[in-house]
Amino acid sequence: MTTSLLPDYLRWASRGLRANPFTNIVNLLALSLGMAGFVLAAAAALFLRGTDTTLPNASRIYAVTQQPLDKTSGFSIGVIPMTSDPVAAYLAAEAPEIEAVTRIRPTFDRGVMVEGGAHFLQCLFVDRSFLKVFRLTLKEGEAGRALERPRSALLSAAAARRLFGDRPALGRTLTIGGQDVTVTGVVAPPAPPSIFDFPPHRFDILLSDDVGLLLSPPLPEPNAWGSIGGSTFFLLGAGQSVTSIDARLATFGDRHVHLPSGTMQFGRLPLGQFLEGLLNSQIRTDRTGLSMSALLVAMGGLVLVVASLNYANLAAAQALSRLRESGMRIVLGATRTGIITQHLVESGLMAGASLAITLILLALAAVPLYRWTGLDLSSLLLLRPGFWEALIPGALAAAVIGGLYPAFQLSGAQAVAAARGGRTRPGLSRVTFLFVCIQFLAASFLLILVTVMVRQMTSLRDFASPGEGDGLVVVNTPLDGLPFTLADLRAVLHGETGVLSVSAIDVEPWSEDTRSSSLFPTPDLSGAHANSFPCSVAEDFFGTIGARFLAGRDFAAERGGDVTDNAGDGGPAAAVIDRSLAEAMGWTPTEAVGRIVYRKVQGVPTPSRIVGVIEDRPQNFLGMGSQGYVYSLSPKAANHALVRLGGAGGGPALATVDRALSRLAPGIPVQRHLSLDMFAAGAGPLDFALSSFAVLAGAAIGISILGLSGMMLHTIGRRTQEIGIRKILGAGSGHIVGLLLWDLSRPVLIASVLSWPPAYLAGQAYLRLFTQHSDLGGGPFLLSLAFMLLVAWVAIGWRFLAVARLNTAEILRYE
Amino acid sequence: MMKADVMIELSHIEKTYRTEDLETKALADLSFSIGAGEFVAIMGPSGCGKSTLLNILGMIDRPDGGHYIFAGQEVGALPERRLVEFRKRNIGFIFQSFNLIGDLSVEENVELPLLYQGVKRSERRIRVREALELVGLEGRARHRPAQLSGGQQQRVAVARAVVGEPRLILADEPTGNLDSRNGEDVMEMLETLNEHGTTIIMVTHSPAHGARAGRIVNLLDGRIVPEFAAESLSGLS
Repeated sequence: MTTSLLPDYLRWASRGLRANPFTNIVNLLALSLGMAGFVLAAAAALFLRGTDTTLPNASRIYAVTQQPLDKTSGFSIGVIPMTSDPVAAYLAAEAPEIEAVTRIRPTFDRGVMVEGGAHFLQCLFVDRSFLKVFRLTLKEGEAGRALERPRSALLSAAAARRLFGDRPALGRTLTIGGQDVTVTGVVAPPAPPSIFDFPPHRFDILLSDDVGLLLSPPLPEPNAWGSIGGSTFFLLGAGQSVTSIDARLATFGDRHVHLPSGTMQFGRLPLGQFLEGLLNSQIRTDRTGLSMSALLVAMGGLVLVVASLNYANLAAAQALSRLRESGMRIVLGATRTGIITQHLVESGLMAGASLAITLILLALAAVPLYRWTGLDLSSLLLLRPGFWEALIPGALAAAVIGGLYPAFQLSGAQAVAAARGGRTRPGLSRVTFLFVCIQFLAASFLLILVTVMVRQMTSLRDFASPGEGDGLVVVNTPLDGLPFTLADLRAVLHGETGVLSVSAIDVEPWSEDTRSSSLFPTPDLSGAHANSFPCSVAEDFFGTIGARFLAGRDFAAERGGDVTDNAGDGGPAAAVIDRSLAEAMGWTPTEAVGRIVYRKVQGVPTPSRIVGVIEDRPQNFLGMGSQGYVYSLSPKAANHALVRLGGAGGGPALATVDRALSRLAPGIPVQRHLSLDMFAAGAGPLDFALSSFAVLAGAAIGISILGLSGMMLHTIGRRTQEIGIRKILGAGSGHIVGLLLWDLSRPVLIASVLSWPPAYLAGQAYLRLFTQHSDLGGGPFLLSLAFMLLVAWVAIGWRFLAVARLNTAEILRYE
Repeated sequence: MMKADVMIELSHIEKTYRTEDLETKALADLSFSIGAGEFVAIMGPSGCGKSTLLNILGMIDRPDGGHYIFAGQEVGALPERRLVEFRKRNIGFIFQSFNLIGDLSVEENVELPLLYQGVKRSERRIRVREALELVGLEGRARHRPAQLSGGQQQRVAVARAVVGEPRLILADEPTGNLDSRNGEDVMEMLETLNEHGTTIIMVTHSPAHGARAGRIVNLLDGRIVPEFAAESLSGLS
């Protein structure tokens, strides 16, 4: 019988929805926001787990992962979907199940001379197998032969257009690092999402590996195992099982990596999961078990649950006015199942309408979202058949979750009470209160996390400039590939207006680096230790980056022993550490100065003497488990020049630096960036996570406020008589407003406080990813509480004011 | 054994309402029977248990004790689902406050019992039209309850009560919210229905309306006080 009533249920439901336009619009918006939040989170997860799925043989392409492990301490920087250089050759030689193995070596933006002009292009060194594994479409050239010839270069379509306009690029000569290469192909943009759209595989030029051997020779073994800077992909043979590769990779490290201090574990990731693998290595999925896609879906799910609870709440509040109707229906023969079904049909209609609004919202957001984050919703969601199959049940689930509670409330309507004609007792207040609390708990949790993330990013951004309004220029082109030395640069810039100091560092600031080194307080390498991020720097480094000394002294080149490059001549090399590392070693800055610390080099304890301790000044995002920085003076290793510019003369001083570089390297393109720009570019993955969480938090807060608004309007409706009586008894408008504001604030306060413990744990876990991080403190918690209260008051308080100001007769007339 | 023409037999019916600190006995050891085709008025002062009795008779409330036999079927122990089935096929309701559903039109309100009985759409239309003709509201079928006067709303309620062709109509103060003219119209309708064989049980405060029933059950503090013949009561009024 229930089925035969479906058209009537639909009719009644659509009429019911029209009968309460305000509440239903609030409900629609909140549900749509929740669904949009969930869909965006799912899209982001699909984005991370769905790279290059349209490439031929994509299901047979895997990335090799590598995990360095310290034999003594068990310390690991995690599972990284990047490898050391020798992996590809060994794998190709020993695995007949594999059809092709390719090694990709990212390199820095290189200056490319073309037809007399200089351009900076992102280069990847790839071997001949690259196009066998990745069957990219070529707009020009032959895929089978494009990388066969020595000195081959494949341009991306965008780079070809930039260099040659509409003219054919094939056969043209480019000069890179003094080496001539010939364009043998132009690669069409791969279908998004693609690993070739994101670092470290984004490219303007793919250079054949023979060029790579000349421009950036790989390290020989065993040192090569200490560097994980490239990636290895393999194409599994058709019909072959990947389990045999797994077995090989499980013992790969034992068979090929022979290091005295550590070992390597190897694994594999499907090509589609490469991007997520990179992010997972940063959030240490190997330790936490939480993957980025799971986090995103969980957060999106949380927002959807918030929206569903909001719907349940408002629908339950609406149900108050329909209890008598339901009671009457029961008197007239409706079963309780029928009442539940009727209400669920209403929820289903609401979900359908919300789904339509969600799709409109997503369509409107698609273009800005693509520009902002690179997420292409159309390719990720709309064109995937699975999208609809997932979204529609998801929307229905939201409707069922949201509609069940009011449906059960209505089905419990008392026929007797309806017959009596009196009001039926709602009995909703506690559950309603609980629902509102859960919504705000989720919103507060997300808001605190976002606040923690923003604070951390802000504090890191502060480190990207030397302070006092000064700027820091990073010369990206390594000094060892240029015809001048750091001393030459210093000499040319000496005395120039606006140039404050010149130094150098071995790794470009704000680039991802996976180095970590254990630091021991004694020569016993099995004892307690701290994990440090080692940096080789040139003289004047600390002044150049704006680091303040807490104890001890700066490096001094005139003290021969300070220079690591001369180590062995006169005792331990000098080292400067930062405050965090000193604390990790159990020392105050003053206590740390003069102590000998040991690093494990080739399995042997190698001493350094701490000569100074600086305030934390990280030059990298994530520490990969490091607890602080250890600096050594090594001008030979410090390959990237740094120039500190005075704030007042920033623009002209930058021009001075450019002129100096042109003078020192005539005809050679030298790339330089401001450190702040490098920070912005390198912050991509963290910004992605931050943006995702911010969007979800915004949605959760918006929904919660909408829900609270709806609830409070219902409350006002129910309490008008009480308000009237209070006013008759002498209560002023202020008292009434205070009373209602307290009602409004209670769930916000309780939910916020309840959200603090989980938010504290999550915030701590997030901050632990960074070598140096801001203190969690109470700021984010109080800020979140104040923000929630303020928004709630502003959103709803005006209504209270209006009610409190109504005259008593007017108020009682409502009843 | 129950007589063949007895529709309702109540024996030793008890009903108590409880709150945290108060217990109110609404019905105490109530026993009586009603024959098929009877028109019975239940009368008594406020709080004597009239509406409680009507709710129990209408199977929308259960007694705490005793037996309720309807047309030979013990209904007190029926599970909820069967009780609903039993009720919707046998009983029509008319309330003092009409209890029409505001979102539905007049014809949709009248149609409801048929919908829940699973009557086909084509038949529903015919029966709704007939019911509205019976109460003289065929021209108001598309109106909403709020667009009607109180008397018209109660006629809609009568139409809704009769549309399912129930054997019993329970009317709880059906004229309580109406003026005398509209009240008279409703009483005439009930009398007509009764003449056509429908059993009517009516709760009323009005001795005049009670006098038009064939029998009066007089309640006081949840118990029946000696029955009066309608004729004798009409003398009192």
